[in-house]
Amino acid sequence: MLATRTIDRSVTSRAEAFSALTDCHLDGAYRMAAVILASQLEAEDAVHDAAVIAWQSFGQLRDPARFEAWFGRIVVNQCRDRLRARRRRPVGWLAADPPDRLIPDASEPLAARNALGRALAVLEPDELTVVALRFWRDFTLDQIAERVGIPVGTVKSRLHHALGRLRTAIQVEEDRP
Amino acid sequence: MTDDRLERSLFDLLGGRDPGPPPERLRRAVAAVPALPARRDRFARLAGLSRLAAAAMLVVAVGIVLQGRPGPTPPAPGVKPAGTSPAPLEPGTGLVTPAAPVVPVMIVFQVIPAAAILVGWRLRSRIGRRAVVLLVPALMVGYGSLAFTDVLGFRGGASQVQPARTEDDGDGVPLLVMLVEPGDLFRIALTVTNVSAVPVTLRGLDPDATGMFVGLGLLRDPQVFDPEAAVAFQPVELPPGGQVDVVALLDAGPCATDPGPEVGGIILEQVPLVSSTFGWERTTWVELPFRVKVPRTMNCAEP
Repeated sequence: MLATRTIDRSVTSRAEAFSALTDCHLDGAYRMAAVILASQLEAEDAVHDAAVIAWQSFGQLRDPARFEAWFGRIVVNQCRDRLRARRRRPVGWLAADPPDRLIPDASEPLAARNALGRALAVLEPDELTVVALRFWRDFTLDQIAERVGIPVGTVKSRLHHALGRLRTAIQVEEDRP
Repeated sequence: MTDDRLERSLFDLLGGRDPGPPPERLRRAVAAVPALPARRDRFARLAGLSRLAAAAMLVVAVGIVLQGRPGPTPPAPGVKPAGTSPAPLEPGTGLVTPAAPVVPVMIVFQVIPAAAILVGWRLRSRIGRRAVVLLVPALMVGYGSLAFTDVLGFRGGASQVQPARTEDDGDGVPLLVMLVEPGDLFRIALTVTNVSAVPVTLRGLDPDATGMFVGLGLLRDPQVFDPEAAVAFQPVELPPGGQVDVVALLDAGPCATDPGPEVGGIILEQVPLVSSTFGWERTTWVELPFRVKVPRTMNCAEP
């Protein structure tokens, strides 16, 4: 019902429509950003920035039914920008700002989970984004391609390379005496 | 680690990062977003205009390049084919009208830097933003200064006018009063220097500038600086600092008369030469190191 509502061009109704749509999809956007960024605070900033960008170009959205994918793409782009910005910060920033509220996983040995976490940290932002969308949201390759704005073939290759790098990084951790 | 185990571990690890529902403060902040000033909304519309401006710039730039591309220069009247002795300087030789659409270009140069900044504002890549916001306007300014600053000048060359009598104009600049009869042709020999830092092609003389200039010739022998030795003009490439001796042919007009204290006249201070820089043709007014006065009878109606 919400998705089929026509976006009125007047400012007031536009604001109402935007608020309704963002409120509807805020949960998924925030959780996706938190998973990608591994930080709730950064996720809040990223989603808020994405909302500002979305509102500023809301007039360009012709089909309200596409809002979720459109907004999700903006959020993903924000997350990617933030991951890239992290890379430019001095080494040690990640260690000083660990992921918030990590839930300990009893089924996995702590060392292995930490190794995987460190391996994720060395992935390129684009790779990490694809991995997060694939293994957390269980998105199909087509859905990831739409959300990130790249061809399906690129999604496949990024996923392949990312998993390869993760395996290598974990293997190095496991081989370490 | 097997593929299954890796994928399961990823599910677990990434699932562990899922914080659950967003905090209330984020909901409130996002709900307040529509109340923010719609600055980017206005910019988005301007960005559309900037794309149009960029497209216009592209069209004009391509047009300038195509129009101004040095191709086979059509022989001017009086120019003999290569391989024969050069034709003498006669009325009609060396005349060329600049092809560049100056006014649209100037408009584009006003719009494009602003457009580039607007487009750059919207780019996500920081390098892209810097490139567009800084480099593009810098290039525009550079190209604009090439187009609108003088590329040709006199700068210490030789000059000669025949036949003339020199008077003092009172401000230190020699005033050469022409000794001509109505309808006479007279010549001004002048060394033209490329005063810019880029190669310039001297393409001829702009006949539309004053109506008095009727031809342009070259002095090919650097040892002979005699206006009467001029041959028909052909385009000349001038490297930065390069010089060439040219001879402008002028028509005194039907109202010219012997000089006397009571007659008026036309005073020439510049020669309108057409040059081409990177395919951009335009008229450059080359300042003469003297003034040329063509005495005219009063109350003479020109045809």
